[in-house]
Amino acid sequence: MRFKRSVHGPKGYVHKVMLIMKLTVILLITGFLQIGLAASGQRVSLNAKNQSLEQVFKQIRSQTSYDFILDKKLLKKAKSVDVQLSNASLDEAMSQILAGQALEYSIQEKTIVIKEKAPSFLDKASVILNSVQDLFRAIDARGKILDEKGSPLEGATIVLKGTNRTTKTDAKGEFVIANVPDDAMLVIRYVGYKELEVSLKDAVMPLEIKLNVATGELEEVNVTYNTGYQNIPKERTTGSFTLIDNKTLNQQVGTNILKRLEGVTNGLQFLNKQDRNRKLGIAIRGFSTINGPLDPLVVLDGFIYEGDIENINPNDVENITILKDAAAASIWGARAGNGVIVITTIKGKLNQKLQISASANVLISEKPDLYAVSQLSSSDYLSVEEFLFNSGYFNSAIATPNTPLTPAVEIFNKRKLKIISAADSARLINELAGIDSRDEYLKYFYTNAITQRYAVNMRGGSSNNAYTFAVGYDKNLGQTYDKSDKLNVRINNVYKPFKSLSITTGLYYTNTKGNSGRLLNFQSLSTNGRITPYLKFADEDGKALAVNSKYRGGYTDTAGAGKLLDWKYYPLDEYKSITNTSVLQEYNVNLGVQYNFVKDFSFEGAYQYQNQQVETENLSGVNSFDARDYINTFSLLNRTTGVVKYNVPVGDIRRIGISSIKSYTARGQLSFNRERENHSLIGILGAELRQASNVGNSSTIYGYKADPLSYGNVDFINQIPTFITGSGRNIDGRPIYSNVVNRFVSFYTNLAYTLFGKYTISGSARKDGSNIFGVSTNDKWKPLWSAGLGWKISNEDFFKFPLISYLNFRATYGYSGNVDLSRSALAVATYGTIAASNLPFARISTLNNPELRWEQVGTFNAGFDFSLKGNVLSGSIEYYRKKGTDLYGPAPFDYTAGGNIGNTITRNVANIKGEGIDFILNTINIDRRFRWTSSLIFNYAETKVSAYFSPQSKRISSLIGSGNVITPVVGKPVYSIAAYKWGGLDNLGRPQGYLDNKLSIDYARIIDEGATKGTDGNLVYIGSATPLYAGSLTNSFSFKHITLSINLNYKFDYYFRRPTLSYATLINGAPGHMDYVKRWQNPGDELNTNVPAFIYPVDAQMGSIYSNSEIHVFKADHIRLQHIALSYTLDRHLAKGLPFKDLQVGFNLANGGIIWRANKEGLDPENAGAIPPAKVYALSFTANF
Amino acid sequence: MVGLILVACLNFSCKKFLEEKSDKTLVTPSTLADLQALLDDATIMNGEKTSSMMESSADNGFYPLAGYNAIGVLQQVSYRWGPAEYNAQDPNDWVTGYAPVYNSNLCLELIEKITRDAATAVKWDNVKGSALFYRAYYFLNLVWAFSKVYNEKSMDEDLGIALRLHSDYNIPSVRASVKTSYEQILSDVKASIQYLPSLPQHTYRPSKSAAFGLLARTYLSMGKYDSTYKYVNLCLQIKNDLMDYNSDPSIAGLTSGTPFAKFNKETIFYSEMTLGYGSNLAFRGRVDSVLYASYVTGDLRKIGFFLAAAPYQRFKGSYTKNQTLLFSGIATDEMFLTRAECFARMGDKESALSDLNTLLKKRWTVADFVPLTANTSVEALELVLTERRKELLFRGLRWIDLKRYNRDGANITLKRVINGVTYTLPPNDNRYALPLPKDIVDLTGMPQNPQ
Repeated sequence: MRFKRSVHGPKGYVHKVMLIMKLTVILLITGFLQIGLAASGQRVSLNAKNQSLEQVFKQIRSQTSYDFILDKKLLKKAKSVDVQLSNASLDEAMSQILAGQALEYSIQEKTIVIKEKAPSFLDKASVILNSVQDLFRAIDARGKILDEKGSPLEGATIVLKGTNRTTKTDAKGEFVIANVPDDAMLVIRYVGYKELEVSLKDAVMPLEIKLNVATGELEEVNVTYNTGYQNIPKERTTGSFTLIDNKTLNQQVGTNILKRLEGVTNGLQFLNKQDRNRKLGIAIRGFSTINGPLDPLVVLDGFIYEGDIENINPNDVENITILKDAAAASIWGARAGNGVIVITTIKGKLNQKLQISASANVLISEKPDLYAVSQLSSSDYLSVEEFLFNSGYFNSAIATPNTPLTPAVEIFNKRKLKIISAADSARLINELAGIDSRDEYLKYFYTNAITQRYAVNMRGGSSNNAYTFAVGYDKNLGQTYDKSDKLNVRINNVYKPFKSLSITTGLYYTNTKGNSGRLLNFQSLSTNGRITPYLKFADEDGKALAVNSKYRGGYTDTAGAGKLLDWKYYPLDEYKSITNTSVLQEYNVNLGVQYNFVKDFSFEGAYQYQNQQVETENLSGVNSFDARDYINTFSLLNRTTGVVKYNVPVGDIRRIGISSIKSYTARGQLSFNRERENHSLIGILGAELRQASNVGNSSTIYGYKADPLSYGNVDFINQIPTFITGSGRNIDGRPIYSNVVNRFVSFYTNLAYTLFGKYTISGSARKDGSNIFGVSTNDKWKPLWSAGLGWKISNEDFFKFPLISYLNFRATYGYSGNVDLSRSALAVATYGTIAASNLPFARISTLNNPELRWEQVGTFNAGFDFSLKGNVLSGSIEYYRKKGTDLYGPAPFDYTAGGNIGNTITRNVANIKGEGIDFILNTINIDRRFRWTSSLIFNYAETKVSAYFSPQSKRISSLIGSGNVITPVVGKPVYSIAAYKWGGLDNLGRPQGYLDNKLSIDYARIIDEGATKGTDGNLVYIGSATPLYAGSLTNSFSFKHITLSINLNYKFDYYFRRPTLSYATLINGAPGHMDYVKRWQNPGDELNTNVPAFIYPVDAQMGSIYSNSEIHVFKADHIRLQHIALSYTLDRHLAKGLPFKDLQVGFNLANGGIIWRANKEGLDPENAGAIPPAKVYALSFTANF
Repeated sequence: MVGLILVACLNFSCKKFLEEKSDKTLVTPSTLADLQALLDDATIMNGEKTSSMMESSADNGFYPLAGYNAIGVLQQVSYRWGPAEYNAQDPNDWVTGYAPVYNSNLCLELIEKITRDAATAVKWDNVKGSALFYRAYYFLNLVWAFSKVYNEKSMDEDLGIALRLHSDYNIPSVRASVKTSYEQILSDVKASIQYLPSLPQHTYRPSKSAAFGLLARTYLSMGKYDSTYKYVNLCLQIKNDLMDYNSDPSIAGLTSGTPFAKFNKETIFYSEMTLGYGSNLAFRGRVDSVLYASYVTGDLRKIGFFLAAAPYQRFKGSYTKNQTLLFSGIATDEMFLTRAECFARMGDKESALSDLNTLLKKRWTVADFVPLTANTSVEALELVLTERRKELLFRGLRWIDLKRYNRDGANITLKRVINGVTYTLPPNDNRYALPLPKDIVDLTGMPQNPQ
């Protein structure tokens, strides 16, 4: 009976609302109409007596050229017409013609639509009466929903087809829907299961309905988005979310969960840029800041996650929700400006049988492709060295006895000093020319990397308790023989002592141990700054060779007169005496209580404590060059007595660093969830308190001996004379301690109201206070907010396109924020001592700004979600505009107020504007035994600086460069590239630029013109250095038990600058660029080459015009094979007697490489001149028990 | 409802939660030691901060043509009292003058958050008193340079300076009247007295003696001689040391390039003029030849203050131990001359002469010194003012002296002849209030001084 009452109560109200709405719509349409008619000025004259409606309409059509749309049946029902009109407006004519008819009309474009009149209020009343009568024919539908194994499913949705009445199953899998017609249909949905329709006609109550597992379909049933604070069913959201489910995440096998988002996530891009504020390399929908942090906020199971992302075991992740627009993200307030990534872990459910799954993966990646890095060949490099030697370039280095010389320079010098003959010299140089140190590096320092991953996950639940226990173990051998182990343990529990109370506890523990490998990275070894391409690390017998990297061989032979430690550096042996280890431990504990204290209301309290501690130890054994060199440097040798005084004691050097991140969050939240026939309202109101502290601690111990444990003391305070020059230096490694505490207090609310299952409005607001913001910001109630509306068009009565099963429109607007945690609203000072008075002083380096506040990002988002019948085609298209205001940037300020700082100050003044489109289209191309589905993602994003104050931000010349760092120039994308116009080489092989539109080699003035005149002068603005268009195409095929999925990524419409030959860096020792062979050498070469002549001494400005010219900037567009995943599932149906339910074997390829590129040079635009990411092959086994 | 209560409760209690400073490696000044350290930053609080533009605009020095051609355009325009336009990056006495004001304000705000108890009282008082003193000291320097002279007839309308009393730069700067500016200065110094020690630990630091000296300076420029007398007397009661130019441990030999020690015993409070106009003036500028001619043999200052740079003289007598860095602090010689002026103006001829002779005795050779005499107090005043000019040249005091003498009817017209063109500055001209920086005027909308 209770239920019946609630049917009637709101119904009358609803009808009223509907009436009002329809009236409004009609009013709007009429208003629109009159304007249209006035403009067209159509006039009608008629003289009809007892004519049929059809005849009258025909006359009107001939007079006005307006067409009619109507159901012929209506004409039959219509009464005959008597009208007399002369020069009447179309509107007057139609109203007179239809007077007394049960018809109404509307005019759209050049068409008049005739419809049956909507029932009047009285008509409706009779309809209600009828429905009341219907109630007596109604039955109560009740039943139980079971999974494929017969266990009850809690939370399955039951919809009364053709209405908006829904209910959910309880913990026992049971449901009741009262007062349904006896011939109704029920639709049953549950995530991961196939949708089922059940007819009630002649059905026996209670029903027992078993659902089948959905396999491989792209079904959008019952999708809920997790914002971290609440789960919102997709149909009731207005914001922009992207959900990546478990299956998609598992198509990739890497150890970093966020990396698995690449290529499959709508609106998210991975970037290869080197900004200081970017750690994750992820951009959601372009950029929102210039000087602020660039990473999205990462949330793990409802709490901000500040640990190392590698700590999260991908096997533990159920799904990831990306919050993209303001309505989605603003609930996270002042830190959500770059978007939010919400990670949800797999958890056991109530009334679920024990499920065990175990998996094992092996990932193998190739050695790096060192040959992708352009450098001079050994013989060319030697010829440059010879030239420099003969030009006297090395004279001063040679004159300093301890300065190291490259092997070639040693030879040239010996030849010059006539220690060796010309023939010997030529032979030795020839030997060097035969060495390519890339071979050496690959042979001695690199290996194929192997990662082994094992995971076991157990979960299940009784009627009042659900549990999850998961263990993961990774063992990794890296490309440079570095090793690491990782252990993850996760325990989750839900207790439900009463129906209305549930208590959740969680523990997540990670332990990682890492060991450095062979330490030496390609091109990291130099001799006095020269990176020679002909280094050799071992002799023919494999014995380590000394490389004179820091000191000259001749010097270290004799300097210590045999009294000091060996001072040679053997790169091949070095790693044997050095152990760099890092141990990371993280635990994450949380406790939550949920209490339904009144119907529809629940209170949630949650607390999380997170602690990550990283301990690094760098132990340089006494046999390592690192330790020997350090000890020798601070040794004093008495040449007469031969006694050595060790200021750094002989022994190992142990450098340790401990850094920890601790955070706690406490949250109280009131939730409201009311679902009635035609309305549903969900909302939350909460407050949160959060503290995160970073503590760092480091120190160095000298003369360390592990067993028996002993160590020496050193003088950190005074300068110690060094061996070689005698000049004083401090011993490094004084204990250092740092401590940063960030505190936040937040209040938030979120509401979504849905009417008739069609119209949804939503709103959210959040206020943040923190110890970073200034007093005035914390005191002001200026919340970040959002508002949105959704309209499920396909549920409208007028929507009559049977092909389109779902069409939904959404629009939102709102604000989120972005905070640089390193800023402070307080004045910051540095200490020193005034010599004259010997008094300590403090000097302000940053003025206090009580108005310092978060950066603000306003986002407008509008889009459609659609799907065709049977989900053959589904997807969404969204358009957004972003406006970042109050961004941190320099601003002129009234220096009367603080004269020590200059006339600009960092304030919330810069602006940025962005817009874009997120489009995703999922198709089911073939759905038979062979199934082929595709998913196409298309993203457009462009972010431009709209306001910035600095002289550089007004100059296009600031954009000359690689485009790899954010460079604000007003009106241009945040990453973009400009270049000098290229005028070719002159007849002496010198690069030519333009000056006053004429070819010139006056480099200083060319550069000056570029800076002052920009594109009006000799500069060309080329374009964005990040893709404006990007996306992916995934094709998945399945046949019987085999599935294959191929993921292609594309990035279009952007530019990159390829590395070039720079003579200035080459002579200083850089390995150069292969273009060297194409350099201008003889007059006439300028017709065939752009590579300038080698002119010594080098003119740096000349080089800069060449390397910054337009000829090195290329279109970066490319398509990449991101990954391939192939899997085979063996289950009990196939092989009876298996010890497990099913077994999945998978093969996976990642970083498949570029398959198409716009540039003809064969360069990888994302790794131009660098080592490309190695291909990774993986084999995986997953068994479910 | 519940939510509102929750919000209200939390909002109240989290104030404290949010007061924690975020990065603990940053010194966000908060302790007494931090505040004292801010005030002990002599580079900001004492060094090169008082206006040298007003010294180069006055008549102690002049540029011969070669020197004039060698200095920057801005200095040239300013030197000939032209409409000088300058910004943040130019020599800018406005910005330098306000730098110590910021530190003072910050300290005055933060000291209120520290409780004063028996254990901390001395340190607490020193910070509070010093901050008040510094603010007043630099406000007076700014008002002398950038405002018209204190004149009771027009002080309500005359534009004073921006009285910045808070450290928050978001608060816009507005120009107070001359009257309000002086009132603020007087109230700040007077408030500082109760907190300061009689004598400082170092002459970089303020003290009661310095505060009395500053009050004497202020009242003297206001033309209030009874008050001037009251405070100059209090000042000299605490400290009245004078260097004997015949022989003093602080003097390295009058013929040396920099005869006088830094922090010598006459220094009550140490400050320096900015280099922007000052170093040019001291290096390329020459001492007014009429002024130089007024020193006669036997006057040791003729040797100690000047360096021959034929055909003229350069000034080398700064108490900074640096030929191009001009001293602008408070010293006992200035106090003796100030008190002598008060006595003379109050009709006490004998006392005026007594103070004057006390000073001069230390400035002349023993053999040549003859005490000055006068028949009337008017005559005595003339003697005092002449000696004031001769003793306190290049101290940043002449500009305000010219302003007050002209206010009282002295009718002094300054004149520059540059390459045959004569520029003049008539008495009480608008240009006695130096121009504010252009970017500040544009940014804040504060009125510019008419030029």
